[in-house]
Amino acid sequence: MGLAAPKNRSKISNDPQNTTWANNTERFGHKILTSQGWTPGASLGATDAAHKAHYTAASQSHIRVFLKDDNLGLGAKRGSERAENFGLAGFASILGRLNGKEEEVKKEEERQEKIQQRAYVYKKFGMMNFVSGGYLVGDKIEKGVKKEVEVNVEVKSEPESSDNEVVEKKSKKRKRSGEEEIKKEDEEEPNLKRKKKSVSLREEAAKEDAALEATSKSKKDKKDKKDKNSKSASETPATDSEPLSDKARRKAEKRARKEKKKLKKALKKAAKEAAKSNPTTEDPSSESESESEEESTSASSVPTTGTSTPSGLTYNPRGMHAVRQRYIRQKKMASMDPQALKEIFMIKTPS
Amino acid sequence: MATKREHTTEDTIISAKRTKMENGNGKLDAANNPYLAHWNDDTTDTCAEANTANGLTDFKRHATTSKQASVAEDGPLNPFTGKSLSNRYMGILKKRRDLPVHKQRDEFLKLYQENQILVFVGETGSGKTTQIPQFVLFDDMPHKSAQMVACTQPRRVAAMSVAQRVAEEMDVELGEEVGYSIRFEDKTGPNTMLKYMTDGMLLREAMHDNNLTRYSTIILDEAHERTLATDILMGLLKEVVLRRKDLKLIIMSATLDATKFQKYFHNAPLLAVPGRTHPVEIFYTPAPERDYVEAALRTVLQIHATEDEGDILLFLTGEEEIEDACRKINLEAQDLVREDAAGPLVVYPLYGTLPPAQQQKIFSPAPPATRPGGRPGRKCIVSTNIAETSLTIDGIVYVVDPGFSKQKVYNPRIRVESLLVSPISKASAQQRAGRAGRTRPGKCFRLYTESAFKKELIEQTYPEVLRSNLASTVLELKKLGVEDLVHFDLMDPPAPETLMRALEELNYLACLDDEGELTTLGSLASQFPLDPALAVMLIVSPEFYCSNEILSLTALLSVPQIFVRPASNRKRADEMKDLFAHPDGDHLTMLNVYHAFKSEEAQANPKQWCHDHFLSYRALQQADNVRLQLKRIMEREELELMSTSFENKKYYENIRRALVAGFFMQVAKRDGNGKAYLTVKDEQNVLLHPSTVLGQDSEWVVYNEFVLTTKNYIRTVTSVKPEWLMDIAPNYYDIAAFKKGEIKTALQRVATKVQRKEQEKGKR
Repeated sequence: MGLAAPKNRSKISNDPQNTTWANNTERFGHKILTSQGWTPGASLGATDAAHKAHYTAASQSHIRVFLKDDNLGLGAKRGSERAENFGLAGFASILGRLNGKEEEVKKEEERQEKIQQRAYVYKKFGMMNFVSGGYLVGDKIEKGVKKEVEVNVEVKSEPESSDNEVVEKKSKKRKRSGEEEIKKEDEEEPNLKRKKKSVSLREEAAKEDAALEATSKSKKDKKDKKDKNSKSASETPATDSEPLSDKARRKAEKRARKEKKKLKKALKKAAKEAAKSNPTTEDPSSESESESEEESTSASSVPTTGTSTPSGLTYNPRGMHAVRQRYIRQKKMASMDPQALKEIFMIKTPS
Repeated sequence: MATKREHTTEDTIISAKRTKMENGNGKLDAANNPYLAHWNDDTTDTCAEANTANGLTDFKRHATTSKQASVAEDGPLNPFTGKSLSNRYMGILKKRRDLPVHKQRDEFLKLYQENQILVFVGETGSGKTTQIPQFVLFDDMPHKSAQMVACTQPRRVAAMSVAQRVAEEMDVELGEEVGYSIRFEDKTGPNTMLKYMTDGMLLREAMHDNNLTRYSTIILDEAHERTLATDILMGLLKEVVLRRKDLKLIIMSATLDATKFQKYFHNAPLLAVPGRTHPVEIFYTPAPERDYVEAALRTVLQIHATEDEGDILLFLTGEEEIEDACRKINLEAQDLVREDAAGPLVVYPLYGTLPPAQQQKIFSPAPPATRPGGRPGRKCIVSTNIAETSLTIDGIVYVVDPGFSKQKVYNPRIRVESLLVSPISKASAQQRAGRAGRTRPGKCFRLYTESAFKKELIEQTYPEVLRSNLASTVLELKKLGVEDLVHFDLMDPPAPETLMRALEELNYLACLDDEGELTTLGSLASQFPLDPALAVMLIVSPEFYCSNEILSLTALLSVPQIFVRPASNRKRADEMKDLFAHPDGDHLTMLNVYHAFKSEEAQANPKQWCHDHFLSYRALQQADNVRLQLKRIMEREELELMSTSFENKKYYENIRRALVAGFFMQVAKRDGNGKAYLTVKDEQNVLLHPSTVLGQDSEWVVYNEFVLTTKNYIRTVTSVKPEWLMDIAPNYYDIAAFKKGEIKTALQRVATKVQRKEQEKGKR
């Protein structure tokens, strides 16, 4: 965490691996082991054991441990969140394209983008997103099968080949619908932000209510309008996307309904809270609070515009960064276009 | 049903072990050995009795079928006792026949009859632990040859509860036909034919009867957990089955990957029974998490607010983290309930050191909806990885898995045991996910990406034998008659350095002689279910006139932490601890606590007294129990129990000297004038654990354990004098063998001082 992090000093011993002990071959243990036919470097255990292939490295030398003193999640590394800033992602994609793996590169990029978009939202608001990894059947994971799995377990005698076909078909279908769902969700996310924003605005409004009644009314009206806007927006993608399978649509509708419910509840909550804080509005602290809230809302309002250009940016660049960001984006765009790429690298295609 | 046998009483065991030891090299004295009690039994008598009593007369051993067995099971008389069967039995029988294993009974019997070793794989919920031993009983009929069927369990609680359940299923009294045997408790009788026991107990029995002749079939259950004792037993039994062709062996595992077991046991046949599990949908996060605890909390709350009915199981790493998470979830959930966004949510912590009464709470049903027609309630269990395999909680539908657990690893080079948060294995992750599908299709939320699952997790969790200090294991193996430790056929042989370290420690403790043979002291030490250092300390304590105190101390050191330090009341807890503090160190402080605990004042209401003084009543009680058991062993081994009178100036000094006699290899010297200490010989920088009562002015300290948690700490320390070290353990403190450095010069200085003093004495 850079220089601002608390210092964690610890003295390292002169010989932290204790090589003095390890390299000493005069020791009692070493003597006994060699007398029983062990040679340095060999592992213990029966000679020519049938299960020798299953031995792990831990049978050779003790298990190495790492001191984990933070709450960093599995696979997360410090300072590695924004690889695209270094243009490395773009470079990789150029190489991939030159190798004629256009499709794969594109897919990968899209995937990355999607992940980043989602990551932004959930870093900001704490939404949890998960991607399905299939179903656990016994000890193995099977991709995207639900009903078939149960059948598989119960009816064992059925010929497997036909079963598998069905499974594959189904899983494909599921995948497709799943993708659509994800898309839809992505579209919905900005709405959610807007909703949240409106929530906090309303909270503010309620607070100000005590002080200025007249202005609040107009503000409230505004809010209501906004609210409606967001609601209608949330409904449009569900109806717009025509190739949705029935199931997915139903799911989407359900989700939308849930979202609405949540929103209502959140609104209620906000109102209540505001009511609670009413008597304390005279305090200067509450004013500053609302100020800070305003700030946060203004910050959160930025990405709503960002979604129209899905660049996967995770922060709002200013000044020098903005220039650099644009530069990188241009480069990226260039690398997306095969024609431009060919021109850059002066590749002649026999046409 | 009365027989002359009485092998349950402790006294017979005592005398037998004594004789066995004197007899020496492996000759079995059947007359006195309780584990061979059936040898001197009048077998014809038992057989005749069995024949009249049961309905198994026309059964031919190892040639029965499931049809025959089910006829016998139907009654009307209990095939094993001859009594009529109760109605409850019939009810249970119906349910038992619905279990997945029952469908494959014939298949099982066929493989069992045809092979000496069988690998059996059954997922959780298949009923293998309760049913397979019974299937074996009907075919093996061990009572006809006055033998038994043993079924091992890694955990004491499991052994007890399963035995209870099976006794009910067979309509017999626990302790009669079906019994159990765990450390410090033996509930078996002369009629016992099926014995559930911990794997450690079977290993102890093997020490006295190397061929395990009292068993006709041995079932190693939960072999996939790969506990130290199970691993050693497998290596041992692999040899025993070659010597005893009549012994049958069944290895039971819950994981599907049993090829390793098969290969290990000479390509033994495999029988797999599917469990009754439902599919579990796995979800990964799209990107790595910055803070897994926070992410876990958010996930739990989100599940609670948005998902259907069903309980949540969250895996975290340690007690503190779990308690903290519970508090936070509770707070947030109350908010949710207040806003009517969700139903009520109860949160239960679950970890090993939690009192049993509180552990039981996790089985209580989820709370009902707050008002009729409202959203249903839910329970959330926040657990360490004991909920991964050890405990089965029904009703779990959602599992949240951050992918970490606290794991113990031993480093033989610097002799440190680390208890660190590390990534789990793939197998472990699957096991966790599987917990969600016990009652209906479930969901598992993994707080890491799919690629992290594939790339960052190891395949299997390392078995205990690769992660532990093997000193006591080596002592056990020596006692078991294993001479060639290098080629002992373990499923996963430990690192050579770990074995070397163990041998060296035992050699310095004089448990092994310079040729690597077991000494009398070593053989005596193996009688105690303790670490060799503790056992040696206990055995030599009469030489220091303080065996009573050392006995108490040993008991205190082998139970969980006796001091309680709740996060909410740390200051008060520390004040209370200071009441007992002894300036010379933690060992003596613990002893003070114990003596106070045994005083009349405290014993009037011990529970309240412990609570008032921030002490763990359970741990102290347990220590009391362990002390009693160890005392019995000491009396059996004719070790004198004595104390220096409290008024004597040397009362505490004697105890500290006895401490050195066992722990002279765990000594650290202060490095310069700072806080840091340096361990002797291994020269590692360590710090005194913050919990110590010891001031900073002790130059030399002996410590009970060296652990790596957040830093290198030595815990439970007491100050000692360097003269004692060289006096009590001259072999280890042979100055010539020391590496050049601060410790060597310090020791040299002390040695010359001692010499000079002696010279002066001689002059006078």
